[in-house]
Amino acid sequence: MMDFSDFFTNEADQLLRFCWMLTLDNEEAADLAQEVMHRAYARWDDLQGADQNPAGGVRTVAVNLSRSRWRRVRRFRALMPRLAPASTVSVEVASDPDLANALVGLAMRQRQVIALRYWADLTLGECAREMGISLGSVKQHLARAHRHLASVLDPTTLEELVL
Amino acid sequence: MSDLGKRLDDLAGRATAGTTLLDPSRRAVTTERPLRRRSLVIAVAALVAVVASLAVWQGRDGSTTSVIAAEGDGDDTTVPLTFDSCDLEASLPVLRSGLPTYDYEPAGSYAALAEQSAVVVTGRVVSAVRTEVSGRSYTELTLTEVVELQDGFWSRTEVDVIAYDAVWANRSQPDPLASPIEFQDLTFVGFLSPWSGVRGGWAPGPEGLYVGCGDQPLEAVFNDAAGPDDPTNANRSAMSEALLAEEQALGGADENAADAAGQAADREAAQAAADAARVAAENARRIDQERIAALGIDAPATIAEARALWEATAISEYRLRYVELRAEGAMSGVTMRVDNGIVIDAVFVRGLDDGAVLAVDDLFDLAESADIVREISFDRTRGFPTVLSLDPDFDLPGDEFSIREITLDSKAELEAIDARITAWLPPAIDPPGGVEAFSGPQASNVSHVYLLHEEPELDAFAYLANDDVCVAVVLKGGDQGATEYSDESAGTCMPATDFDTRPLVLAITATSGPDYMIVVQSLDAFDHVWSAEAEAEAEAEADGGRLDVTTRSAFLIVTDEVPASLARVLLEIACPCGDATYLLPPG
Repeated sequence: MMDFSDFFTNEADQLLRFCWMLTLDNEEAADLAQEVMHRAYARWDDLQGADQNPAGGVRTVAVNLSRSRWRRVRRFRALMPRLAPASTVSVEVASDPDLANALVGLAMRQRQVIALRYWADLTLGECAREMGISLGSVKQHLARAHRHLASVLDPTTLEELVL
Repeated sequence: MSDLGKRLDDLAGRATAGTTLLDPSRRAVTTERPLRRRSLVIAVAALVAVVASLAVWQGRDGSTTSVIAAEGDGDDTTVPLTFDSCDLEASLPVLRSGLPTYDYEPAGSYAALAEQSAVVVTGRVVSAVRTEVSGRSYTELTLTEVVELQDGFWSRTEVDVIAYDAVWANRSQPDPLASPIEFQDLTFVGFLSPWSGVRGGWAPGPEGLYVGCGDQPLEAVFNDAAGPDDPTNANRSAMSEALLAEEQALGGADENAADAAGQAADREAAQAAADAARVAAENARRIDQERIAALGIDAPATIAEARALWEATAISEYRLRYVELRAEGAMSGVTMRVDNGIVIDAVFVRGLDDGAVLAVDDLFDLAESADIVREISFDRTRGFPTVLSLDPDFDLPGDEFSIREITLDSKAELEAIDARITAWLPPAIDPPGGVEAFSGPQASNVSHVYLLHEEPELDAFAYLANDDVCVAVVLKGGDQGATEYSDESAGTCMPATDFDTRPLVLAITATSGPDYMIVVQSLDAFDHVWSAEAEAEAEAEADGGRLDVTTRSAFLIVTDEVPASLARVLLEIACPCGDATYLLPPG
């Protein structure tokens, strides 16, 4: 049985990066990742049971939590309907502005599937399991994400990137 | 890992460089706690005292204590005092305890309130406690997960404590916030200004704090903070009452006459504006038609023709609505505002809220690039797609989708309808306090309502929200203390552009209280003289119902004296614009 502390040492940075890809905000990512780790610690026995994949489990928790936080923000945004949302690129991501701008334009589900498919190197079936949606939905979100990325990045470049 | 994965990793790594997480297993806590939550610990004796005081203070029996739980760490001597679930009804009195009566100029809308505030934040309230700084008493809230609205976008902020004036002056009862109280999942929205005199440095304005649980509507913490001349303010001082009475005695008649004249002038001005807007919209449409006619396209048959037609209209600002259906059966309905081809605002109004948000040009792009166009049709005169069913990638199963019920209103059309509605509306009044229909997130920008009918047991209001026209019927006589209205209300809305030609109908057969039906006539009908009659079907007694008809609406109320459970009541409207019959079914 793996000790939680070892898991934390190995996975904290990866989880933080994953959360950043979901939120595109450093502070939000840190809060999200910290909360995910708290929950993982509280349910550590369940997470590392038979045939369990703790890293995948915490990613699923992150996906669900990020989604609920995003819903909450949107609900409150409804209070100010005349204030239109404006996409901005955080200063931290100036290292790769093209990709950062492309990510900003993706919907939440599309960012999730891009991060899981290309960063976590999961199969489409594994993406579906971690996102808790059907394989068909994963394909649809991925196709839409591709279309958006291709519209922002050079389509040829995108093709090379995803191979 | 693909190159994209590597670039993502590099990007995320740089963005999060220097950020470290805390290992929960190394923290000195023995129970799961959300982030930044203060460990509030008090002695058991204090817990008992405060729980007891809450029960007394809320004027309830001992069952009130059920909302409070001691969640300890196994040590019998110390426990935090915590609401064991989000309970707005129990939390609000705590947050409102000791509030002074405010005298202020109401902002009038959330947008105006935001403009008056230095920051607008949202998050969760972790705990509340009464505190004293330099001899002045405050309620201090500790917050978490706080994000700030900046330029229309929520971002992280450092606001983690706010405070507002609150003095517990009732020396005969213990202060419910003498010791900290923790809340569970109590969300808030705060319109804040800097206040260096308190810890945290931020304070909400007198209208500036709202709290809620889950998806329930947010409620104002400062609900009694109405201005001195607000007739709904039950806390109005005796001095204000006397001044008001004096003013009415001195100049009431003249003022009433002046008001009536002013309202008539306002209505004439609004009608003139409506006429001007209608002419402008018709001119815009005529110019469009001339431009389109020059293209020689009559009812576009291909995507290329439709796109050329759409571009010829040169409509750059518009509202677009549609329903998206995806291959796996998911559905989402969205309403968006588009300016210069860019979506500037979008609200999901039906189904899931993760659907695609696509302007007309995006729809054309998708149709042009799809492997298979299964179905497509276009607006005959403006060319935009009205139905779209695509398979973007033939080799990719599951990416098929349809977009249906596509409707588009140009800015000129929206302005014309707004002007017509403004002319149609009766004089505006402030929303009555305590009525959920006017305070929830769905009606959050309701700064004015319009009284359509006033009856002894219930009133009917119109209001505008999110480009919709709405009607709400509110029952009176509830146990609300400060307001004559109960918390029972019903309502319905429709897009303002549909209200041009369709009536707004609400029919309620209630298990208790009167049954009722209101038909708010469309703007088209407002230009005609129309009449309404009500009748019950055979075997029902005709007594006990009332029908109030104005130029705008017909309001049918069926009291308990009528055996509505046995009868179908019909409301028949005769209008040169078209007769119609509406049915109030048996309850």
